[in-house]
Amino acid sequence: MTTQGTTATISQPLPDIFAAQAALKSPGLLALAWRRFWRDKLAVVGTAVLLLLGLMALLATPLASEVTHFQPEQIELLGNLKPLGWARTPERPAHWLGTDELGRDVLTRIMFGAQVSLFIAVLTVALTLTIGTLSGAMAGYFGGVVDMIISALINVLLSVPLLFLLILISAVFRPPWWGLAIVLASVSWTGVARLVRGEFLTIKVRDYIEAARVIGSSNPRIIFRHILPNATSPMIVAATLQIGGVILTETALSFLGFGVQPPTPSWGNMLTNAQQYLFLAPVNIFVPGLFIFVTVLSVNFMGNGLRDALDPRLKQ
Amino acid sequence: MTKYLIRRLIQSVPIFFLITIIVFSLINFAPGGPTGDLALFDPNIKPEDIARIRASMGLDKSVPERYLIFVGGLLHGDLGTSLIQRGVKVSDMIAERLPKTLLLTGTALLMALLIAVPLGVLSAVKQYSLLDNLATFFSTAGVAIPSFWLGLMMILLFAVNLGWFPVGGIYEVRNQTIEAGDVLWHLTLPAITLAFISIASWNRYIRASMLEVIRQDYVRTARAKGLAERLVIFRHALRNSLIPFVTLLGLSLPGLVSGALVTETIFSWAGMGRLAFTATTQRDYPLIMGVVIMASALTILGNLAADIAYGFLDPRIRYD
Repeated sequence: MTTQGTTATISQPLPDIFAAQAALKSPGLLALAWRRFWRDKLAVVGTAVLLLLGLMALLATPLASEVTHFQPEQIELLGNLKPLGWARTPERPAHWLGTDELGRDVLTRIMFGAQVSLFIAVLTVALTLTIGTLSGAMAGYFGGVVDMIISALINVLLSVPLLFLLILISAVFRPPWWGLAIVLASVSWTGVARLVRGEFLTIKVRDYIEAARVIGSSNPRIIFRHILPNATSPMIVAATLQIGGVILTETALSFLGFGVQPPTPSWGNMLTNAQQYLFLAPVNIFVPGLFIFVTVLSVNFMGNGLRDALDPRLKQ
Repeated sequence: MTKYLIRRLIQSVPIFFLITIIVFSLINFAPGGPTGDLALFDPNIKPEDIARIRASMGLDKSVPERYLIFVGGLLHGDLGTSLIQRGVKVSDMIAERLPKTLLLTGTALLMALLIAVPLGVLSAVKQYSLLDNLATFFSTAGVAIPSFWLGLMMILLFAVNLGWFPVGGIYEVRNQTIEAGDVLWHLTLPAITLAFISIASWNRYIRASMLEVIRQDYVRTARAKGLAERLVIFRHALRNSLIPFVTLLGLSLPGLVSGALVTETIFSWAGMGRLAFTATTQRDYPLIMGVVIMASALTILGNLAADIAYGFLDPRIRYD
């Protein structure tokens, strides 16, 4: 399609530069990025796996009643710690991934755990983007005392072992499962903030910003309209690559007992009890961890693909 | 250099105090405060009893006053006493645990360096070889593995099924004396678990920075002089590619200490991480504060050491 457009313009005696340019530019930046992304097979596979997992999480309730025929908190004490595919009687539905120490169906809990873990991850990253963007923009744009305070906070959070701080925050405030997102975001906004701050420092001294100020643009307008769009791609990439880290931290917190509290299933807290039954039902350790691993791996593949697609210069 | 050292030291001080402020406020502005749970444990407790307990803990004073008392004690090495193990000094409890955490994280750090650096160098020298591709695969997978899961799988495979290593602990309790070999035997699984993620991410970093360095002119000069390839790579190229890595090393220390919390908990390694875990579970506030602040001080010192090493390694750095 592009070549056709170019040859058509070139064949004219006096080529219309603008038309030629328009014809050359026809695949927009986004289309180009999409094409690069699509060529990265790992990124596409990762995205597909994530979509499937997301679908599983969204449809957990109908899937539980129609497919697995168990509820996440349905206890069956006489059928606990059973192996893969166990069924009480041949007529009854089988526990495809076995049962846990209370006889709850592991697959059903994995599906509802996906709901919890994925929702927390997405919410955390949304919050991280918001806090990180605002603080980074303010620090970079206003400089001075504002920058000093925000940078000091960033430095502190970068030099503290965050898990120690997280278990403290979580123990003190005892957040409900969705509140964990706020807890996680409160310590993980530094990456985005540093990125945005750097972008603002380099762009705020450009001439067009000066021009915008001369014609009387307000500070918020300059920040959000003129500077921030420049940082969009790296922000999207940073946020995507962060999802994996957030999932790992949330599941680790839940595993330690300071995250999602039972009986609400999470991929992390399913492993807490499994550790005690290590000898009896090793498969109960294997399954939730595998789901965490595959999810984080897929997110990372997708994030790397996005990075290469949105900013080819960064390609490693 | 001295000036740089002093400036860098002075920069760390406000960070340290900011951490004490954050930790202190977190505990003091918690719903119910440090005595919030008393009524939970004993529903019949009288308000005047709570007031008496609060006064005995110094909680009747204003918050800024309490902070100053806390920091004053901290500067004298006094972190108060544990709420659960009555009368035991927090500083003593930490002093007892600290060497164990240092042993674990130190071993993991050394292990990670000894594996990640050669692996990264080889990957760069033989770019796109089978080894390089395997290392890439290992690294991609390695950074996505939850450390607690890895630890549990290690226990399952090497301790439960094969029986090569113990399930947890630091030494065999039945033994009368603590032997180095026994500790080393207990150390293996947790150290590998802790080192794993660092190996996975560092070897990529070394590879990238090596690839950059071996394309530089001075490396070509070294080769042109007829130096052996081994010397060119390890003496000339590696030294320069390690410089940016030192910064990364400093930055990954907090993550390593966080990882120690998880690893120590899984392997019942009685270090600072496990102490933080049990203290938080039992809501032993003075102990939590002490452990979090000490762990932070540790990573700040580590960062400082990395920065100083950076100054020594790269004479081009200017300190003004």
